[in-house]
Amino acid sequence: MADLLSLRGVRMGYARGDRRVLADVSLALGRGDIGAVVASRYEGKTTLLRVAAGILAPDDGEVLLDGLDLTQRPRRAGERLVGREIAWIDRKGPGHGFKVRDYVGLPLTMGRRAGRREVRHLAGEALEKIGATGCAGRQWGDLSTWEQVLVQFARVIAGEPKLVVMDDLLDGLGMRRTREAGDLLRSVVEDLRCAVLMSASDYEPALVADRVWSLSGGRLTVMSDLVGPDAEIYYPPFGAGKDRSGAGHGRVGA
Amino acid sequence: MLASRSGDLTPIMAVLGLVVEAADTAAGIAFRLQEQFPLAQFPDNAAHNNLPSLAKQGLVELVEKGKRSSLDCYRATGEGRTLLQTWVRESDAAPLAWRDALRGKLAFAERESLIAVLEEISEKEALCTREYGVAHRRVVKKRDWTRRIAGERPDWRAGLRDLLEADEATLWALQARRLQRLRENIEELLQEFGPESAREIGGG
Repeated sequence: MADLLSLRGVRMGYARGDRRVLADVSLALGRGDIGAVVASRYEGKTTLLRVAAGILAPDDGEVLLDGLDLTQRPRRAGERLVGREIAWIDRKGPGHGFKVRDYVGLPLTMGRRAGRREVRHLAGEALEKIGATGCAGRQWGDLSTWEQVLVQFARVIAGEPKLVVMDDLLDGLGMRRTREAGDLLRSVVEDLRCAVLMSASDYEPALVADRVWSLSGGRLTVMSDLVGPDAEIYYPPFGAGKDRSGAGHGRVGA
Repeated sequence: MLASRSGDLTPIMAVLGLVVEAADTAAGIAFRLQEQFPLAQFPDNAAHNNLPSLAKQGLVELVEKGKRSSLDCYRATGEGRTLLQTWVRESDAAPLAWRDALRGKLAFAERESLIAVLEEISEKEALCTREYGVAHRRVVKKRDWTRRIAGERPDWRAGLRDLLEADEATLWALQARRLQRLRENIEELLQEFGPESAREIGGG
């Protein structure tokens, strides 16, 4: 499957001596894929996500979304891209004083994709679909953490983006809620055929993803890949862990 | 002594637990032992060796003699059930004994042997990453599967199993990350002492 999002040789540095925040980062996601980047705080997760979303231009490298090079785009066109074709979702949301229904419908107002009445209607539908109708008239700041997650998913449903970028949205939810969120996200991704690039501070949220990378010292390490061309096929775990050579790990193919 | 002083799960306790969970043949117990505790690396003959011993102690009983010893069927006795639950409830809050050979090697390493230890760290890091991949795949595939059978609400035991599987994936990832950090920090330390010492360590 052709890549929807592709980062190649991305380098990015801030004024932190000679150490790069991102040193030669490459990754790819196809439609329907969920990729997770796991790292501690200050390792550059959000920077990587911002580069992938076209919000930050890297010092070097290529960022392609559906063939469009986000590093070469004119600034204003790029700003319109985030919101329409790219959904950035996090726990910060729009801040206080923003009604949930308006926030969910916001991606539809960009580029006047729908009229005011239709926006309200579609936002209401998206909230209903995700099971958060009760949040429609409330303000973002009054929502619980779980409600914020649901509202962000509703925003994705309403906006129908190609790429969803999730910044630490599932951190600290606990196993049950993380799994519930993972199931919802998977349904949304299957419906929209979009790709998701998410960041997480620990490996529990990453269990919702098909591809997991660890980010350390500005470099990505592939931790697991269930969809890529190099994905391995595994048998059930009987006897796994006995043969440390790897030959007896129930694997076929490489 | 069924429980271990070091805080490890002993094979005999795991075998007792499996028989309490469901009566089974020795071969069936052996299969479930590897399936439920793949990380423990119990020997293949752990079930066959421990079942007669448990029977001698009156904790399990032979209910049907098979054509071969692997087909002997065992079930738990009341005493076995009580002993298992007493062990489950018993607090074992002593700190874990941490006898990581790698830490010992680093503590005693000569400068010229550091590169070999670094290589071992890299190999272990790769193994942990690979095991994370296995565990991650298992969790994702199982979740995908259960998501598709809508309306099936798992019981608490199935929920606990899911949680243990997710915990396993997390443990591998944390271990891989710890080893990566350790390796990077040692490499940084070597650089700090300049190319001369790096050459010296590399045997150049």
